[in-house]
Amino acid sequence: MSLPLTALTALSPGQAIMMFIGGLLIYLAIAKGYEPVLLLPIGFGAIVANIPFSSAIGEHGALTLLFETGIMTELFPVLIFIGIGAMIDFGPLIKNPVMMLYGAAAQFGIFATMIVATLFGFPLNQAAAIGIIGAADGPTTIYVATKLAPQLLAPLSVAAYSYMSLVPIIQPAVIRFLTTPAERRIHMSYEEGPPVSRTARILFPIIVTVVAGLIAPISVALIGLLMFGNLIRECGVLDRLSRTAQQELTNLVTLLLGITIGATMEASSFLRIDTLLVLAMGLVAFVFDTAGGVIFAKVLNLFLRRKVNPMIGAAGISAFPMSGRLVAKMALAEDPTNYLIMHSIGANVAGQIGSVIAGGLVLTLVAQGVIG
Amino acid sequence: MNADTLAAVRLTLIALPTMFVVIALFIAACNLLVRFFPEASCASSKDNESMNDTQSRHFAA
Repeated sequence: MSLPLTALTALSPGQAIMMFIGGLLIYLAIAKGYEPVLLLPIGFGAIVANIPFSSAIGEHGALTLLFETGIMTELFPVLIFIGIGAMIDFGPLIKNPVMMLYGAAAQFGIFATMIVATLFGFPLNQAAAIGIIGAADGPTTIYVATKLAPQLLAPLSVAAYSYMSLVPIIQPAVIRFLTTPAERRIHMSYEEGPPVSRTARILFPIIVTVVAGLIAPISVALIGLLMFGNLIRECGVLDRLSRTAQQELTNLVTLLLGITIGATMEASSFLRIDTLLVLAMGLVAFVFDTAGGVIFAKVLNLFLRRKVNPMIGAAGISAFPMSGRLVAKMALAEDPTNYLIMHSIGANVAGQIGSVIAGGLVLTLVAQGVIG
Repeated sequence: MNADTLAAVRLTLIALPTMFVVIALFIAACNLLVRFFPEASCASSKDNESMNDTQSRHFAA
C-alpha cells in the first residue's frame, strides 16, 4: 500500500521557509506575547497557504473566498473600524483637542517614506501605500492598499500588523535615540477640567464625519464607520450594540482578517526581492513616523514656556493603546513620579484620527489623480 | 530625481498643509462643542463609568 505523499514531495524550499516564518510568528505570539490576536492567525494562515495543493486557498478555497469578499472589497477593515470607534473614548481629546497636533505630526513619516520609496523605484501609488504602514493602522493600510496597490496587499498587511506588534521594540529605540534622559523626565501637568457633555460627545462623531468627508470623500468609509462606532457608544441608547461592536464584531472580524492575510503569504508571491523591500520600507515608515512625532514635540518645546515631554509625540501613531502605554511606561522608568498616561493616551487617540485623515488625503491625491 | 519622486514631493507639499487645516477645523469644532454644550450636571457619570471600564481594560498594563 502506497502512502499519499504527493504534497510532501511537492513541498518546495520556499514553501518550507514560509511555513517556518508562520511558525515563527506563532512563537512570537505565544511565547513573547507580541500582539497574539494578530500574529497567531497570520502565522497559521501562512502555514495553511504553503502546504502544497492546500484546499484552503485557490479557486474554491475558503480563505481565498474570504480574501476576495472580505479584504478586496474593504469590508473587513471598515467593520473593524466600527469596533474601534465603539472602544474609544474621545472625551479627553474633545477637552484637549490640541493633542490632535501630535496625531498629525506622527503621520509625517508616511510622506517621508513615500518619497524614499519612489527613490527605490516604486511607482507613486505603491510608494504611497507603503508609506501608510508608518501610521501603524492596520485597517487603514489594508484600505489604502486595496485601492492603490492591490498587488502589494499581502506584504503591506503583514508589515503593518507585524510592526504594530513590535511597538515595544521599535519605538523605545527611536525615542532614546532622539531624546536625552532629561527630556524624557519632563513632567506634564494634567488638569481634569469639567467633563464633556453627552450632547458634545454625540455631536462629535457626526461633525468629524461630515468635515472629513467633505474634504476627502474617499475616506468616508473609514472615518464614517469609525465615527459610527463611536456614536453607537456615546448615544446612550444602544448599549447592547456598542458592546457587540466592541467585542463580538471586532473579535470575529479580527479572527477572519488575521488568517486571511496569513493565507496570502504564499512563497511564490512573498519570497521576492520587491516584497522584502516593501517589508524593509515598512519598517522605515514606522521609524520615520515615530521620529516625526518626537521631533515635532521637540520643536514645539523651542516655543513653549511649559515644556512637553517629547516622548508624547511618539504616541501620536495609531497603534492604540500600545504606543500610549509604552510612552507612559518609559516615562515611569526614567522617573517613577512621572505619570504621562493621560497625555500619551490622548496623543494615541489623536493618532487614530490622524492616520485616517492622512490615509484619506493620500487616497484623494493619488487615486483621484490630483497628483501624478 | 524621477517623475514619481517629484510627484511624491508635490503630494507631500499639498497633503501636509491640508492636514493641518483639517486639524485646525477639528480643534475649532471641539472648542465650539465644549463651549456651546457644556456639561450641565453630573448626569453623565454613568457614561463616564462605562468609558472608564473600557479604558481600564485597554490601558491595563
